[in-house]
Amino acid sequence: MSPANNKLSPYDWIIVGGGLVGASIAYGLIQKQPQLRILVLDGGDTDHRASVGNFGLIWVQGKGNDFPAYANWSLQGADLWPEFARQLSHKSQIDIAYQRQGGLEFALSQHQLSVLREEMATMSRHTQGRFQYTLLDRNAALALQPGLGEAVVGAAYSPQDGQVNPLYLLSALHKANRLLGVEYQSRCPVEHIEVLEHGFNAAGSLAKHIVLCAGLDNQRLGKQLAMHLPVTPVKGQILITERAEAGKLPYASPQMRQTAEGTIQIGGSHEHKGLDNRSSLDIMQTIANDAVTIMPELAKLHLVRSWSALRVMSPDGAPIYQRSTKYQGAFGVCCHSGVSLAAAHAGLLSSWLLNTLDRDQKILIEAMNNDRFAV
Amino acid sequence: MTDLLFSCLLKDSPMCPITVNGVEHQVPARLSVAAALLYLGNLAIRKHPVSSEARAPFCYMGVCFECLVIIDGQHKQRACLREVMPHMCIETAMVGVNP
Ligand SMILES: Cc1cc2nc3c(=O)[nH]c(=O)nc-3n(C[C@H](O)[C@H](O)[C@H](O)COP(=O)(O)OP(=O)(O)OC[C@H]3O[C@@H](n4cnc5c(N)ncnc54)[C@H](O)[C@@H]3O)c2cc1C
Ligand code: FES
Repeated sequence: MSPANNKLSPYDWIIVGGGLVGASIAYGLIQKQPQLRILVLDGGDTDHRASVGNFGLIWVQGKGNDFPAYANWSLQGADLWPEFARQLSHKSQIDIAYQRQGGLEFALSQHQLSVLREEMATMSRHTQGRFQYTLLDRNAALALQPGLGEAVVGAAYSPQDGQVNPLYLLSALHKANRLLGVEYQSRCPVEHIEVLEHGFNAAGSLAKHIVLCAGLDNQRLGKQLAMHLPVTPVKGQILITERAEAGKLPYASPQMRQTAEGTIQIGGSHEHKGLDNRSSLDIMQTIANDAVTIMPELAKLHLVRSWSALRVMSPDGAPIYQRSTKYQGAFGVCCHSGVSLAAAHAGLLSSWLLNTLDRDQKILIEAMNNDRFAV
Repeated sequence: MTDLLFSCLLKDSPMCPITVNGVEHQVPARLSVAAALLYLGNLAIRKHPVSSEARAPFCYMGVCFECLVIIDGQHKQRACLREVMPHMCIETAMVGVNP
């Protein structure tokens, strides 16, 4: 069928945005209902794209401390990851370097350690004990991660945290989607969405349903479909060292992880600088210092690359799953942890969009709609 | 300015003495160290730290870090970004491997 023909008969779903969120949702939809006609409309390579600049953690610790639904969702999402990774690698024939060896959150003072103790206990309560963790004193932390700096007084360990190569993840999703019959158009920014009698018109293509997954552009596009999708950019900077022998950092942490290729990735900064996504020397020095405080021997490694990228942040850091109450068939998905939640988006969230979820799961997802920001 | 990368190999180029892993060699002047190692027949020059696979200079423009050598005692120098100098002393992590 030629693209011109395609435009005449409407798609079942148009997904606006082909980052991790849009690609995971398309992957979920097409697997559940292979007959669906799905079109992903993506922007251009110069767009802000958290999906190609992130840290690659599949993280549970501390997610949703003050938001029980999000805590449960994060944990479910992480638990869905092993099977999701297996299937995706198989379908795409791309090794996405998924590992779930657990993660460490370091404490540099007794105060930080007691905050971690509180947080972990809260998460465990929110999840009826399904969130597993151990609080480690310095010696116990050293047993897991030799070479820790003097300043580390302890850590929280959770076996449920993991990591992945986020670039391979994104390209595996795109490749699998293509093989499964999802149509994809790049350099096709959606400026305006027209509401039709039985659907939507985005950039000249028609569909019965539309999902906004345009990252930072969701706020603007949401307004056109009467959805409040408050997201703001939060900059994160990342440094990459030369490759080191495997096993230097057996466990991932928000400050550092060792990739399958051997490089060590250093990150963990948060800056509110609007759409400015440049790296800056002061922050690079700060995150490098923080990493060396935790693991002094990192100082011996050369840095080979650096970049920064913008997080897609909601007011409370948790995702927003929104259904337009005014326009049936329109949805908005905004998410700061699009790597961690990729399996949940492909799995449960796409079932939510198809309205095939059982009641409890539906309630869980709908607890993360935008009502919580109502003024 | 825009001479071909290996044009010095085509003409009668002046030669430059260098030492590689303790052995003296003559290589065309103006080559990068990475090109000089290739000229001398060294394909792989180091091992991948994780997989131990043999590695060789790849991009020849400073971005892949596959060409790290020791130059005059300085570790982790990118061979593709340094020009050979008379009596430069180069050490590679792997010696004489020509797979
Ligand atoms: C520094 C940093 C570290 C991070 N670390 C982690 C981590 O360790 N673990 C984790 O889970 N998450 C992490 N994240 C978050 C994660 O990267 C994001 O949650 C995720 O990438 C969001 O995906 P997205 O598809 O919503 O957005 P994006 O990646 O921004 O993609 C949006 C897409 O929409 C397209 N688009 C935009 N506007 C339009 C339009 N009008 N029409 C059509 N297309 C449009 C863009 O071209 C882009 O392709 C990190 C983020 C950053 C910045
Ligand atoms: S060959 Fe790539 S950095 Fe030297």
